[in-house]
Amino acid sequence: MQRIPTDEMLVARTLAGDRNAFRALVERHYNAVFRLCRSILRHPEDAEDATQEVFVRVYEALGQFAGRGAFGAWLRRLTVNHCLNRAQKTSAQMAARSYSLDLLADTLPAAGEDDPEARFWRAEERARIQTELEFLPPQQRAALGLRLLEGLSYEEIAEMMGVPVNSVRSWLHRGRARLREALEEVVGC
Amino acid sequence: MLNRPNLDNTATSEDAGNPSLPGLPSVTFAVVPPTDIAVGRNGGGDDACRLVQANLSAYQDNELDPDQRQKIEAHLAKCPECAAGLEALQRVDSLLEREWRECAPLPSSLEHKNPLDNIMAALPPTPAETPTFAPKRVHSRGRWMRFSTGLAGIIAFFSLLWSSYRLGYAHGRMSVAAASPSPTQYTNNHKHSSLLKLLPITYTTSAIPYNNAVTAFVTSAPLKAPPSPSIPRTMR
Repeated sequence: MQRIPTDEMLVARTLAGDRNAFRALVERHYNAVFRLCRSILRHPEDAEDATQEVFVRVYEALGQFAGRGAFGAWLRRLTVNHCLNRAQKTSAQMAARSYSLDLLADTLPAAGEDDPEARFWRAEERARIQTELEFLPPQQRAALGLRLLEGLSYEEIAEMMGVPVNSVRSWLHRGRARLREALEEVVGC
Repeated sequence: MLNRPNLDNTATSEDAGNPSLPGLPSVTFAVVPPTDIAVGRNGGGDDACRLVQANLSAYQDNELDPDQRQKIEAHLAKCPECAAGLEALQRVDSLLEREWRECAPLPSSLEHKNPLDNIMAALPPTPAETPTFAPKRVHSRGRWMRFSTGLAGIIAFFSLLWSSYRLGYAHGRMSVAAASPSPTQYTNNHKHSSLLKLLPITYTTSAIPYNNAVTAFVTSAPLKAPPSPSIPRTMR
């Protein structure tokens, strides 16, 4: 039975010049990195671009990783930093998209749901969520993403983002409160 | 990972949007006043509800200590409004999680192939840095180099200090000797300074009165053993 190589083994092979090892690393972590980027950045296209940039940066800086700690944690930290920088740059350039039919069309689910009415309401709900998410500050989105997608504790998020634990606590509290208020109809409370 | 209790309760109430309540002790975030919190809307009024609402996010993430958690649970059992607030937060979380998870591309999808190829095409020929899987070794060598350089500097400094002290000491002895009524004398400084013996210089002194001072000259000269000094008795 063939043993599945660990991240650290793949890193060592990449550093030795094996590009296929890096491809395996990308395949393994692509979805997690994309989800994290998507949670921090406003638009899916930005998230996709950021994901590619993150992996290129990872490749360039792989020698600095040097086997200290887990590769996954290092990758997440790099992703969060990259996305926050990117969000800061783009926030000045791009205004938040308004709730529109275009956005509604983007959020229509694939042919998974048979009932057209259910599909429509689901799409509208997603559009509302995306619209409200766009108004959250990037730090609040990052903290929510790390908490909900990665399941990290406040302490771990604080360490990853280089901020005090109380800032994380505050961001999560404010982000949720704002979304709850904005999505009152969807949430139903 | 998810169930780690949080022990850090040092945030101010302002930082977390926590209301400061009149008549209650100074409240830090995630720290619940011991008595009022569990009373609930029916018996305790809005103050307790506001405190619970401010802590609901941390409660939901299991980041409160057991005592605080227990108090909030007691309040939620009696206050339907706060319980509904908790449900709303849970619903927000599930919506967000579903939204983010659903939008991620599947590894098997055709869409996924293209970004992967794009990434591989955008990579530089080799990683920028050479492998550094032995950071400790490199680090310790650098530290030793810094340490030895510093040590050499300290030794050089004290050597200079010591030799200058000896020169000054010799000068002082000579000055005193010259100031005495007896003729100019050498002090026996060469006995004290082994370094001076090694130097290719001889000491010549002349008791030249110059502004009532006696000057000692140190001149470079061919190697010549210094004359054995005879120290006047007054100096001993």
